Amino acid sequence: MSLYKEPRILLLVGVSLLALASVFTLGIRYGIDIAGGSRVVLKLEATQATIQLATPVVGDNLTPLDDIAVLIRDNLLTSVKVVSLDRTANTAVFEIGRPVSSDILASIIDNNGQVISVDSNKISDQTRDEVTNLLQMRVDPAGLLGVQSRPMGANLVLFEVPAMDPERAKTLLGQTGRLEAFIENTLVLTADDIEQVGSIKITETSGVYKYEVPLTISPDGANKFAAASQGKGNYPFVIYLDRPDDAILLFNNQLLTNMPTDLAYDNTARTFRITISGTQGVPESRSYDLLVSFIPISKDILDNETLQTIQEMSATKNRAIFLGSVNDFAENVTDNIKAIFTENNVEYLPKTSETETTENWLQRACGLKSAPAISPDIAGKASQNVEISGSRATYDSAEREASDLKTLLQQTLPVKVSFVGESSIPPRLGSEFALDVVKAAIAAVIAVGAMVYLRYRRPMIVGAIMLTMGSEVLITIGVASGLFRQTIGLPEIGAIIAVIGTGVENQLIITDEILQKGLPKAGPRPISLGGRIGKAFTIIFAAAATTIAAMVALFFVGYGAMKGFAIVMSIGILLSVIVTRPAYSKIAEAIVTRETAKAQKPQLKATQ
Amino acid sequence: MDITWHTKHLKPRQMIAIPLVLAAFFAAVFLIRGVPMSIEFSSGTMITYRNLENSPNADAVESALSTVLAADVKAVATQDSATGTFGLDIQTTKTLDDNGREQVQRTMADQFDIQSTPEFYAIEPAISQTYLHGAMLAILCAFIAMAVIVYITFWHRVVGVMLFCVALNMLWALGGLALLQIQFSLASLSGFLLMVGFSVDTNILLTTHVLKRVGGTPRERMANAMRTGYMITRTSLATMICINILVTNASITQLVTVLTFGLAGDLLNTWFLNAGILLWYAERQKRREYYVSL
Repeated sequence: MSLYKEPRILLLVGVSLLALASVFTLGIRYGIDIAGGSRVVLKLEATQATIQLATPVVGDNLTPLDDIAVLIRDNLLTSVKVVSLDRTANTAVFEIGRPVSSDILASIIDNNGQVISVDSNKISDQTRDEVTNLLQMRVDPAGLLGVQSRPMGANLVLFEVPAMDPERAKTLLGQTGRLEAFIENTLVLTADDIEQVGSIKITETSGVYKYEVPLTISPDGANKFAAASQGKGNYPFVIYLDRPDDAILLFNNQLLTNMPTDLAYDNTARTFRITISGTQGVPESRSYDLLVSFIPISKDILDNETLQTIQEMSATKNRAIFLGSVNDFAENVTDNIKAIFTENNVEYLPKTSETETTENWLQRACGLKSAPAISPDIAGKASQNVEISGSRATYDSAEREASDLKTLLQQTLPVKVSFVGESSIPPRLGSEFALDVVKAAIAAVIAVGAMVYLRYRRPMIVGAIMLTMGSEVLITIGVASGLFRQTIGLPEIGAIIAVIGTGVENQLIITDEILQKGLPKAGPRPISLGGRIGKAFTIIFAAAATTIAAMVALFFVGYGAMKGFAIVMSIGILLSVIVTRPAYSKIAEAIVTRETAKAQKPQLKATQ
Repeated sequence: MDITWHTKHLKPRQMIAIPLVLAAFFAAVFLIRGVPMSIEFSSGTMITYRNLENSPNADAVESALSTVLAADVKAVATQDSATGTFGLDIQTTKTLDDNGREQVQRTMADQFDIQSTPEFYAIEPAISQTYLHGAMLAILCAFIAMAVIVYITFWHRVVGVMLFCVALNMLWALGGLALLQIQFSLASLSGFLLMVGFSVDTNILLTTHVLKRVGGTPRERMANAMRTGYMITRTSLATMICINILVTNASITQLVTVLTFGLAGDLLNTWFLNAGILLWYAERQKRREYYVSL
């Protein structure tokens, strides 16, 4: 049979072409070592409070601790855990998932205990690891990106994210995932009520892509919804994610002069009211307040009255967000605000683009995710199904937004996180590295070629081995990076070397078996060529299965960098034993058969 | 030179002894000298400069500070995505006291004209204690998974020795890093994982020949397998040596060193240790068969 019609060869050619196509069309995602990436520093804002217990803990009865924890949790809507307990001094250290002052804490725990000290810049190692882990899961759920993190200082974590733009990394890393849903300023649901997040759905109507993230809420949450929505058909159900209730939002007062009709600013409530008019599929117009404090300021100067208002509000709020970029406000204005809130607690939130409407901009600033009208059919009913929806201009952005939202809701963080900074970083290994890799590759090709030639003295075999090596590299990169979107960094390069390394080993085993050097009386009678190749494949499959078993174990338990290695190596070895190595055995077989045929011809002539 | 000499002339006991003595040597080297940890895996200090007008030369800073501090230094120039200003993140394995901090600031001011005050943070290893436990668990699980597969393949209790040999190869590689004082880094970690693949292949080659093949004596079958296996390891070793000569990149050197020692260890651990034990087993089996047939 001609080599070109052999199914194994056709499979090899097909898969190689596919890999080549995927490398060219989808491209290779490089790891941080090779392509650089973004570096995000996050602050985990937990508070550790030492509290003298009013009721001592006796034996295994931890009720006094639980009572205090529940009080703090219900009042601050955050996670609380007991870090340590000193039975002799009768004190306990509580870790609270957000910054809190000792006065507020004292008023919450009331006569259950006495606050001894509050340390707002401390987080237990256990919590830090837990949060870091959750955050890694958010940006890199399958371990394909190779995100690296390391603890820094007392409560900071440094993340290095390759192949993702800093803005998106920031969105995924920086949000706590605190969900709140309101009907008419009444808090109806929180993240604790979410039982399950369903799969996202995207529909297109006249060029606008609407996404839906379905949620299943607890029976308790459903009852709360029923009570709050009684008789509120067509009222907006306003859903926020990480509502900045601890911040004041400062906007340029010019905004008020040119307001769209569905938007109004309320001076006493200090916030905007959005009206959903009857034209948008709702019979009569309904309005809702954005539940965040907005203050209008002049962009050039901060008058005394405004300054005083802000100062008063700073008693309860601990950060300020300017709606606009640094350059949109005069320096003396921003300096004044920084003086009140300190430099680290002042943020800027410009419009994403000129086309973003004022309404969308304000909603984004508040963390408002959607405000669907409550269908009259479900108003007042204990429905366990809720949907969060929104619209985007393209399918991709709708899909991304929806899947990010899903991730955030599934992995609510136990502590508040805030940004210390984000920046882009250049590749760690530099351009010299590329040259070094090329040099290493050339060295490998020469060394392997020479050793193989010395052993077999057949240029054709050397060529076939080189060809197989090349196709294994191509297929591994093509499938791992192109189809699985695995980033290729240093550990992954290691895995590719491992694939071709074991590849060369296997090809040598096949060749040795075919040529049957050594043992002359290998059995009662000589084994056929096919049988000898079969024997070689027993070894190859056993070795591949063993290595893949090890890699699968590594993937499931392993640390970030090990995951990438495990993925690439598993893919590479799997494809190699299925595709390239069988193809090589055919090629080698053809080479040997032709040689024997040639060698036999002169013999025949001699006998004639 | 006949590389299979030992398969004809040595007793299994002698074959086993040689790699065990060498393994003990590498274990001792590892325990006495220790392996230096790379910046990723050690704690130290992070020094960050922000709001710089010009992009700093990270390589120059790296070499200047590593001389001044007499420690490992890694510098990265960054760019703030909001303001467009530049920054410099410097990591060092040294914990800096006030004196050290002042030294850094003076060097930066004198040599690079960077006058601003940086932030100093204590940093902990990129692999935290929890992760380290995870990594240990991962390696343990990987070995268990391999044990299950080889046991299913060969259905023989003596094959567990194979995994012991793979573990010894790792010990050789660790000893090698300690001997040459080369850093344990992410790259060396890759090297360790990579080695598992290589050593499993040679050990399976040997075990298949000794336990599953028919014809010849076990010693002949072993010699036959070894010719193929030696060829394989020789090819890989030659490649590693070529790369080491041509390339000076630290990451590649770390990876290659692990492989060189691991593969050298593999030659002995597979063809002497694993071979010796398999031979001892096969010959004892033979004697039993002999008694039964009587």
